[in-house]
Amino acid sequence: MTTRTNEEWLKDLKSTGPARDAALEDLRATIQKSLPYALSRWLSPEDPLFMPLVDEVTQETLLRVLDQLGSFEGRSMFTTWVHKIAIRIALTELRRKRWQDSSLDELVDNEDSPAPPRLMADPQAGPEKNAERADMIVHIRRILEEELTPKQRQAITLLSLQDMPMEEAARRLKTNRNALYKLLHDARLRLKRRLSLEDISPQDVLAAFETK
Amino acid sequence: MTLQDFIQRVRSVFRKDSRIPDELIQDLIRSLESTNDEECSCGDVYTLLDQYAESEIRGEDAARLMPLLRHHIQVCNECCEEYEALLRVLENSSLSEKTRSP
Repeated sequence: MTTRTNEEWLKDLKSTGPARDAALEDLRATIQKSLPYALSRWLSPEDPLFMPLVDEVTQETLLRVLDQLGSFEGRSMFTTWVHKIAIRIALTELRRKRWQDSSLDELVDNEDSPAPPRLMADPQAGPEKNAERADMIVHIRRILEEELTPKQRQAITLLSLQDMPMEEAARRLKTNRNALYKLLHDARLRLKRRLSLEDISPQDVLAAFETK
Repeated sequence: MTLQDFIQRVRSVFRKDSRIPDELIQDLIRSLESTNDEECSCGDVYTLLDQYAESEIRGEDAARLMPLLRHHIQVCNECCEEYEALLRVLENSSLSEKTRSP
């Protein structure tokens, strides 16, 4: 495989003929060599899903790299930029697939499951303390109603539900991952400021929920 | 579970006026402690991730150079996964040899 500088990668990929073909072939090999490391936490190379995923991700990465060549600013090595693109494509696909598989299992498995023990009333606390905690929970729920928009509430519920990936939640909310993060950041900031205004600490709130 | 039951459960899960479950409220409240006024988005992180990862591999203090990016990686699970995957690739490629400080 030919070693290239950033400038050489760009020149070859923008050219036509054998130089471009050779650069594409080298890039393909580079991506395929890196994916086992990138995916090692999720998928073993022995897994039957591994090679089809690698082929799909490699193809999609090459297309995206060629499409976005103009946006490469040279702040890293060209191949690092390509690895970043390949990783985003691979993990997005893996998360989508994992979530699709697990969400169906969970819907079936969790039918009629009992409430977790931490949500039961605390038998050690007196009735007065329990009443205070119940009031706090009602108050926090009111704050959520007042401070969060319906879209923010929906986003929070979706993302926490069976670990739905950001991309999937963004698709359902007809937005993108970037805007979804901003939507949630705005929600967290509003809540933080409201609690601060009312002099309620997160610890107080958590204590009320944990011993409900 | 019949198909009708399944569809009904999915609809009930995704109905827009559903109350946020207690567990989610607790997660949300916990996240407030690491919420800053200024945070960068997943898109900002993606733009700089290759530069940031190389900086880390070279042994530079990447967190100090890009504190907003560092904070985002600490609070956003998916960006953190992508960053760690990129680090693993760089650690196992020739880049770590070429760019490591002498």
